[in-house]
Amino acid sequence: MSRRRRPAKQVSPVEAFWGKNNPAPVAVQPIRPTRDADAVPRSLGDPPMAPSPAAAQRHLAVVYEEAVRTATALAAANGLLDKDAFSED
Amino acid sequence: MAADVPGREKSETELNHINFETLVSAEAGGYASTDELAALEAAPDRWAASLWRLLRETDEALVAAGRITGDERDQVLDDLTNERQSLAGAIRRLTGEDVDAPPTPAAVTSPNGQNGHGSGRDRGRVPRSRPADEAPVDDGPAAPPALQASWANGRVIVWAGNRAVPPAAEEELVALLDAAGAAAIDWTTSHDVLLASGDGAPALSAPISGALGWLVGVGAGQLGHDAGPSVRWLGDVAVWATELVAQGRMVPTLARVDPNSANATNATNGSNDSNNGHAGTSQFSVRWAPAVIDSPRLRSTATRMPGAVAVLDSSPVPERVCRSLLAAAVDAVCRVGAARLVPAATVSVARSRADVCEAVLAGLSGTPFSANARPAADLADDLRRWATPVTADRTIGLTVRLEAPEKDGGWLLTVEATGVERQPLPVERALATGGRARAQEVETQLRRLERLLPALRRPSSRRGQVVLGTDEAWELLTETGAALVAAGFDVQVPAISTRRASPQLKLWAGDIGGPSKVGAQQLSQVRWSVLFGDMELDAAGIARLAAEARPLVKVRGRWVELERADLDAAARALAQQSSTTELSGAAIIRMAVGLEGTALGGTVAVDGGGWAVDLVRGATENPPQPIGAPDGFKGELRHYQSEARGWLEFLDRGGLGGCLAMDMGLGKTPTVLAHLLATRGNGPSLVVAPPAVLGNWAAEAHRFTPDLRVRVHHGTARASADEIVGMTESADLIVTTYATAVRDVEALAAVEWQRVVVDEAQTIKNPASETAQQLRRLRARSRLALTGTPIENGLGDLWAILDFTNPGLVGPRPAFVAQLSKSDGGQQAAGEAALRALNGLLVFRRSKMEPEIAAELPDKIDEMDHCGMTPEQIGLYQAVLDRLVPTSAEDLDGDKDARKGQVLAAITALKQICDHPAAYLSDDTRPLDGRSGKLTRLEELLEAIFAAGERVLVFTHFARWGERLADHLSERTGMPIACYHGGLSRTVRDRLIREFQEGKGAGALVLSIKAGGSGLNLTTANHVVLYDRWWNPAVEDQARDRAWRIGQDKTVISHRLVCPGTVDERVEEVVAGKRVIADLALPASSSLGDLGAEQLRAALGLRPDALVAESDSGLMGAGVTSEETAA
Repeated sequence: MSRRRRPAKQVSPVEAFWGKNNPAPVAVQPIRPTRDADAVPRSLGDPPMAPSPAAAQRHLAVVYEEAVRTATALAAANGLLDKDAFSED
Repeated sequence: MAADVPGREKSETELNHINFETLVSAEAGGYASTDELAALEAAPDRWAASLWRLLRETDEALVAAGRITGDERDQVLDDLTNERQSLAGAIRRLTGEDVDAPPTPAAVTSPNGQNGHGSGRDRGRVPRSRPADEAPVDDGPAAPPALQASWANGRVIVWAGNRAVPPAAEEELVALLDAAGAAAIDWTTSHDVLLASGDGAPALSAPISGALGWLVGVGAGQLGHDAGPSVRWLGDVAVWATELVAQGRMVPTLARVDPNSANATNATNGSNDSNNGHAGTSQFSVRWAPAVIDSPRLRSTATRMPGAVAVLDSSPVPERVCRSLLAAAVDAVCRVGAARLVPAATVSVARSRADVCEAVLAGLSGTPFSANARPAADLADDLRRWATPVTADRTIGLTVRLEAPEKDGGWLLTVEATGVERQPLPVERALATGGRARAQEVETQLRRLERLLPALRRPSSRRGQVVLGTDEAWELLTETGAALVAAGFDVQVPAISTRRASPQLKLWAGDIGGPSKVGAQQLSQVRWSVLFGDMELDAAGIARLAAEARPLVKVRGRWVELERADLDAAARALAQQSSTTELSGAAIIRMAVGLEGTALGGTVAVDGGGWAVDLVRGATENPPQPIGAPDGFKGELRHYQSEARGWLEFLDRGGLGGCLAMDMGLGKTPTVLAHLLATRGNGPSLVVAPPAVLGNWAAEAHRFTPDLRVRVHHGTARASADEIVGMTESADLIVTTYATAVRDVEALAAVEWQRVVVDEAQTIKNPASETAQQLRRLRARSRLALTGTPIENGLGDLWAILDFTNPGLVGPRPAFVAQLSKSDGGQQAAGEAALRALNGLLVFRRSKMEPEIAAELPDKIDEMDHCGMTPEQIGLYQAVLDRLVPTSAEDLDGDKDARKGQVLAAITALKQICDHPAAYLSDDTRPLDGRSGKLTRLEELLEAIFAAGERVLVFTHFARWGERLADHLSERTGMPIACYHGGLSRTVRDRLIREFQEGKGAGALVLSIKAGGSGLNLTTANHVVLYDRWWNPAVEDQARDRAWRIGQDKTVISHRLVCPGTVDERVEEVVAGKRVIADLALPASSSLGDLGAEQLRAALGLRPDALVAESDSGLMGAGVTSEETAA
């Protein structure tokens, strides 16, 4: 049995520019802040920062904590925080 | 080598310059050879400077090309735009910096006099290079101008427009911003946005840092469809940026601050190579870049981007626009976070590599700093390389999979790579499969993973596979796993629970062999174990786990770490029980409900077989199904009543007694009647109740179960001891009072009752009382206790009731009280915990407060209590009747009106006597106790209501009596109870009402119905007692409505107290509309004045057949006969 490919939906240039006026709502995924703020820089190894890359990594970790905290507050203020974000299970 | 000649040197320098820029262009265009690339990498500063210079030249050409007229215009613009795009890409690759949008072609003035935007009110018009492609004019229906947002040059630009309508003026734009909650943002006037229609849309702009909070709100859906799709798109990206930072997915990069960039305004302090006085220094700043970007999400978001977002971009590439906005938003959030920390002091100009590193760490909030260009560019390059594994487009993904040990083995950790082939590959195979580039990417990601999960570096037969110890596995499950996810790895591990798994003792009961008894005395062999959730451990298992460094068990599908203290307690409990190898059925039940003290405390899980185990299982694992009303029952059972019926049948099956402890007003009587009807034919049942509810049993049986043969056994004319057996043969149900049952206990104990029901079972809460002792002599297949308040004063009350229903089963009183008192929170909490522990087995507890029951209940319930008359009341009643009502026609006053007044006075007096002799005798100062059936009933009601912590209004027609009643009740209950009546000043009355309304918990207020029956709001009460009756039902309804009104959130129960066989009952009949005062035979026009002497005596006199003698208080019985209510 042959499968017919569904033709791609054509979007008019006007719609491409202005967008859909009443689009289906995009489900906003709740934000779950990390409990390990500096996992990304740690995964990269010590940053190339003389004279003490390890100290730089520690400093970065503190800044990452603050940045994550700021983003978490921003998400919470807008009702975006995963309600189970801080539960144990 | 040629000699150094000045002219030649210059020529060579120029040539080198030209050659170098050729190399730069070649690299930007993607066709540089390896050698050429190496030459560029050898001079990164020069390379960057050349790129910026070429970019500026291209921009200038682009602006100039706008003036070209003719067919070639578009072609030239396209070529220049493509060239600029290549240069911008090269700059991004080299410095990590995003280049701002290109200038607009044609004569455009920039906001700062260089390029980009205008400033102040000096609007420039932004022509579009290819308007026909981007914004066709008349397609689709017109829509009112909506708020739109664009992204250009690091700024959010807002304007208002929509398809097929002219753009909105600035005033309308401001109004739309206000409506969108964006008015507080520091918008500055921007160039008009030129649309394809030729219209210019007035625009405002703000830096992303100023608009980010608003955009996140938009992305969270706070604006709905009021905002244009372009605004919502920017909101979506802002939310994504917030999510990335919340997950720690960003890296710092170092970028030179471009003095020509619109973004540079906050970074340029007039310092650049030429004007800061330090040769070779530039301004640099940290920029945070998003990391571990989800590529499909990027593509999907870019696909959804409305063209309006990039209306100022001459050749927009949606994915690039999306990246640019995402990066700017991530940078803005990170800067705010970093700015919370106090930066370290640094040198004014960072000259060495170490200086630059220090400046970077101090400037993570984005503050620009001066630095020697070479070391700064070197560091920028190194940082870019360092971050590449998380900033480059990802095609390879790694999945970490942890498998729980089969039995005693370790936890197997494997790493798989996705994106190499269609199916995930073990990482070792992925390293050897595909091209070098793929393998390199896998290697890069694997190293990243190994840094976070060092166990992977252990020597192993296969790379990416390692066996973890319990400690390591638990660390991965609880901590490292989350870090891996944050770093962009997929983690698939068994589910865990960090909730504590408490140990519970479990017994398995089996047949002991040989002849055995059935029931509470049945002996069973028992074995002991301990449950942690659904994990069962014997002593050996506990010892094995205790020896492990980290005791992990799987509970309900999730791995849990057991606490050592719990393991120790479990081991002690098993050791303590090890000598107990046999238990009776009663002991097993006591274990199951937590009445036997064990080292672990609480209830014991039971398994195996036998009477007790089957019972416990039947109550817990397979709770009885609800059973509806039986055939012949006139009415419906509510759901909880059907559940109660199911429980009653469960008790019958197990040969158990129990306590039906449904709250007052939930219909215990009809529930039991339904069960008695369904089980009739197995012998008679006996209901023992206070006199006040005797009539209620008869009435409800008549109403709901007319087929049930009911006999009231009460009063002097009741069946004699010899007749009792005969009576039971012709009846399904005998209803009697406590006093009568005690008096006739010898005869009643001779009967083998199918069931003995004690209503208002709190009556037997004192197990040493004569009543409780004597009732225990009644022989019954099962005993049932009914009460809404099984615990009034303490757990001893409950023990007394349960020990009556199942003698010996719940063990001795002290142990019962001690075991069930262990919950924290005081006596009330202990009572609730006890009822919960026993619920479904020995107790069926339902409360009006349970939402599902409250939903089923009507908002008001009317109950009638038939109260007895004490001998004093009866004697006084008769005397007053004789004095006030003539015995013959000759004695009647000839004047009809006078006669009417005489009769009404008699009625009032008789009603007062029904209330209490002291209500009639104005000089009576004797104590009130035990002299009135109504008062006794009221005291019983108050006890139950107060035990439930609820509040009650007591209405009477007689204010003076109300005061005495209030004083008496205050003294008896120890609670201040006031009387509200018309003789009080307005101030006092207001205070009483306020105090009552503000009161919490148990409380009562006596009110004169005349003064307090209307107009008051007393919704803290949910019980109303109508102590005496009035002819007009509307008066009673009004009184009840003091509590049943707006603001009442509970079911209101009104209790009407009536003395059957007295004038009280005649009033009740009038209220109920059953008959007129004398007799149905009287003509409708008759009035009191028309009644003859005989008729009056018949109307007001005592009806011995109906009178309930208040003999339970040790008072004499009245002339009463038994009554058969239904055949």
